[in-house]
Amino acid sequence: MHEWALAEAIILSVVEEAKKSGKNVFNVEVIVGELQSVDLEVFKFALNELKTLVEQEQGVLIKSLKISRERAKFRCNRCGFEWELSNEKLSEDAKEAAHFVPEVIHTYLQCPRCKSHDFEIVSGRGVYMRVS
Amino acid sequence: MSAIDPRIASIKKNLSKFNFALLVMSPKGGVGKTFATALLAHILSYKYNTISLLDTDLTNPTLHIVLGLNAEDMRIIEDRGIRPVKVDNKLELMSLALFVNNYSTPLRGRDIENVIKELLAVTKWSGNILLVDTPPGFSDTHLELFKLLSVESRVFITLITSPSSIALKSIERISSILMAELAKIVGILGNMCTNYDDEAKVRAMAYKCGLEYLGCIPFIDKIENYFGSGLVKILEKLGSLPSTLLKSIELLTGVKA
Repeated sequence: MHEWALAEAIILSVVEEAKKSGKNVFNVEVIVGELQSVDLEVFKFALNELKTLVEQEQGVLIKSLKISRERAKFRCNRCGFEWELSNEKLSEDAKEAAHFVPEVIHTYLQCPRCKSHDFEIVSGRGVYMRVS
Repeated sequence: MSAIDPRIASIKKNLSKFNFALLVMSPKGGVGKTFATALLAHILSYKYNTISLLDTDLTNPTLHIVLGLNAEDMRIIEDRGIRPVKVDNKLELMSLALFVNNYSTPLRGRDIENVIKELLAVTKWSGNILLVDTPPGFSDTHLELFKLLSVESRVFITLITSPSSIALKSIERISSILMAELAKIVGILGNMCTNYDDEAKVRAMAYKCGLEYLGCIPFIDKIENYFGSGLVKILEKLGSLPSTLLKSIELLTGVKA
């Protein structure tokens, strides 16, 4: 599961932030884009496992961990049409490919109005985070 | 709250295992960068352990074809990330072709940056040397690669040119801008040279640019017949070129086998 790699990246980023800031207690918010089809149960489990490990081994405490989903939306660069991923029926292959590299969606989707592949991923692309 | 891209931490970790990264570049298309990258991978594999190859021609990846792989047979193997595709015992490859099969992926600048980041963040390499095939030009892909690779790896460049006057002029241009940035250039490698005059042109341009002349790969008729395992047969025809290349790379990088 790629979810473990994503969770590891989150925890590594918190550790880096701790090194940079000198702080060792953090509130973390993780935003998960719909396009990456992350299995939230696996992702949460991996995050909690790694969170415990980093507390024990490196003394970095994640006081609160909030995970939220962001819907994937697109805007056509050619005709301006806007639409959502939820309106699309993607094949399993396309979903798997976008899970690892969300931008490959440009291969599998077209603007529903003008059929262009030239569109912007407005929101819900992948995983990002905020720390305080 | 400050926003953080968690991929950066993964990229640093994944790249920290490489002794160096070597980018194969040419501002001009059609000079044989991909073919030269594949040959270079085999040459490097003589001396170093596993060579990790990254195809960054995102809209039209073809390195897998030159290496003898069929996109339809390539499978995503997950291992807390993705394992690169095994080419043989000493070469491994990551390419967008793994995700899009034989389709093209039209991408704008921001998307290109994201794909480069994603590939570097998700790939769990096993090699010690990263060899990167780049698309023609000097734009988003190259700039993002320089930015990301420089954080954790020592980055070197090999320039490829054919003996055509346009390709040579293009090499002169890119050399000057790269040298102004203090980029570490292994040298200039000629490709598709048909005679001594062609080699002399490449050598003269290397001299003019103040760069090492690495030699010339001859023009090879029906080159497709050599893709895959046939590449090794080409190496046998290159005389002292492989050892010259390896010496130049070792001298500049300081990395011995």
